[in-house]
Amino acid sequence: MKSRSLFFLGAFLLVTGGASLMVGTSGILPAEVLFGLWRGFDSPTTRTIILELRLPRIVLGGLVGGALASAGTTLQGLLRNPLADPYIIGISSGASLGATLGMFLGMTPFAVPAYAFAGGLLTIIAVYFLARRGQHLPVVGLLLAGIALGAFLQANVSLLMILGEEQMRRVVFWLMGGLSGATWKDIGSVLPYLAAGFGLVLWRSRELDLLAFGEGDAQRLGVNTEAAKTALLAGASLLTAAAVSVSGLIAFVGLMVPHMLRLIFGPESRYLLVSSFLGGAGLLILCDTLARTVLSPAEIPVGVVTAFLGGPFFLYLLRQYGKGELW
Amino acid sequence: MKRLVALVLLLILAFSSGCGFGGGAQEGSSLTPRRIVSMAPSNTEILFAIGAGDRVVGVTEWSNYPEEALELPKVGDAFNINFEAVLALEPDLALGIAGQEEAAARLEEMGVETVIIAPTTIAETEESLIEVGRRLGLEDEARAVVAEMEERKEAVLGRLSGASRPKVAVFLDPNDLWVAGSGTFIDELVQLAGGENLATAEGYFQISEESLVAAEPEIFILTYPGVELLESRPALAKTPAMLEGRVHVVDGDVVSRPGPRLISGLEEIARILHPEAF
Repeated sequence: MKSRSLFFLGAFLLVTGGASLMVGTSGILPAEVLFGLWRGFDSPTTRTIILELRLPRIVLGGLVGGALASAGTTLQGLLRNPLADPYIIGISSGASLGATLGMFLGMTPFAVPAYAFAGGLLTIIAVYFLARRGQHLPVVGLLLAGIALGAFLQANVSLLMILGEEQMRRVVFWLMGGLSGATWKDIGSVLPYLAAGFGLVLWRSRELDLLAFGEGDAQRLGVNTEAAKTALLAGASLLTAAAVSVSGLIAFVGLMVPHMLRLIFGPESRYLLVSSFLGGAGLLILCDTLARTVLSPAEIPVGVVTAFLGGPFFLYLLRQYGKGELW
Repeated sequence: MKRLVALVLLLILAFSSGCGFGGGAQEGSSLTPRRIVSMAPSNTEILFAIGAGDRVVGVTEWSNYPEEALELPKVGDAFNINFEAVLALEPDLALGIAGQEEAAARLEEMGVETVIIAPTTIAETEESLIEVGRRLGLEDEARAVVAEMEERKEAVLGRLSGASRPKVAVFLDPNDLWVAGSGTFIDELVQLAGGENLATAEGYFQISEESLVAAEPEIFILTYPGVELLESRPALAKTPAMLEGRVHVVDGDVVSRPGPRLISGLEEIARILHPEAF
């Protein structure tokens, strides 16, 4: 049952990605796209649009959606909190501040993502050390430190925006998030970190399940809880920081996709992580496609579409399964 | 701990080298651009003003002046450029504004020469007009436009004796008291028109009702209709401006978009501030 559902998710991803490649503002016909992919494109403009605009946007959308969803799954398990999302531990605020500082220092658009990434990672390290008590990392402390530091850093971003009139617009665009300017270079930058992050959390997926019983019980079952928590946190942080640095803050995916898939797949982390990645990837591609076609040539912020679609769909799922609990 | 720091720095370094020094900025073509995309309404106005209107193939939403621009294909809005729409028009030049650096870099990467102009004063606006004119081979036309701007500006200044400088506040949003402070175009227009801008902080900001009332403003200017919103505040309603009914609405586009119409804005504000001189 589970592998069949995984297969379905994979198929959903491929179909969504493929369909997304066929549609867009410029009115290129799907037939032209297919022909071009198979035999080569006649028009260099069409070629650029399909291969340099749409395709990287779709691929990056899949990677970011998958990263956010699997980070969300990991953090919900690690923090034992169904309301956790990838941004709750402060990474997104740190990345925003990094990006803002980068812009204020006059960095080129190519360097800003690196600043965002740095900001995100440095923040989670600070949160880690703030929360740690000796050799022990209490998850409540992690949550609280993350929220507190995140709020503080976010306030710094707001302050900088008020003080720095000229850069404000640029910062606002960045914060709104989205996949609009996605390039193959962006994909190349984040792929290693996404792979490393996902690898880490998948490696420790068994421990993630056992931690759900509570750390005391997990330890009695032989789990090295501190090592597991650190690895899971590191993995989720890499996934989130990499995603945010190239696509800004896209809300909802990291919070809802794990819940949606948990209702279908159950809570076993091994399957849940992989299905979250596939599901998050497919969902974000779908939402981004709608975002860029529904009101064409205007683009709706993708976070609006994800919330619009995801919310009601999740409620529907809840009713279908007749469960009141999200766990 | 040290190892952790080293690891993190290594990760960050690797990330930034991956981002790389892309830029593939194409060699600036020396050919005169014939298909231009305007990435902001102010640039649309500039392009049409210097006679390049027939070369504009795409504009962003809100490019509402001149009227011909309303018919042109849209490429998104200034906050979110639709790259696919831009590329589909096969432009050889895109004209952007401050804040669009990311979009500009992306367009350059895809082979579209993109120039960003970011004037903050009338003088800089005139320079931008000439710069754009030069790039389009319309330098003479641009200089003519600038000359006319200067002439009209001098005409306005000439009529002002400089005796009194009424105290003015210009609202962008009368509901939340957003005003135009120092360094904005509106501020420059108010000062040139012989007024004292009570919004002394820099940029656009929310002024405190208290400080506004304490300054005893004589004239209120609104960039969008909404006098009732000011009237509903009891303290403001007692200011000289409100009591004497010296509250005026102007077209927000005309007084804040960098372009030739700034001078029309100047004329309008001067007439409001010093009706006796016109």
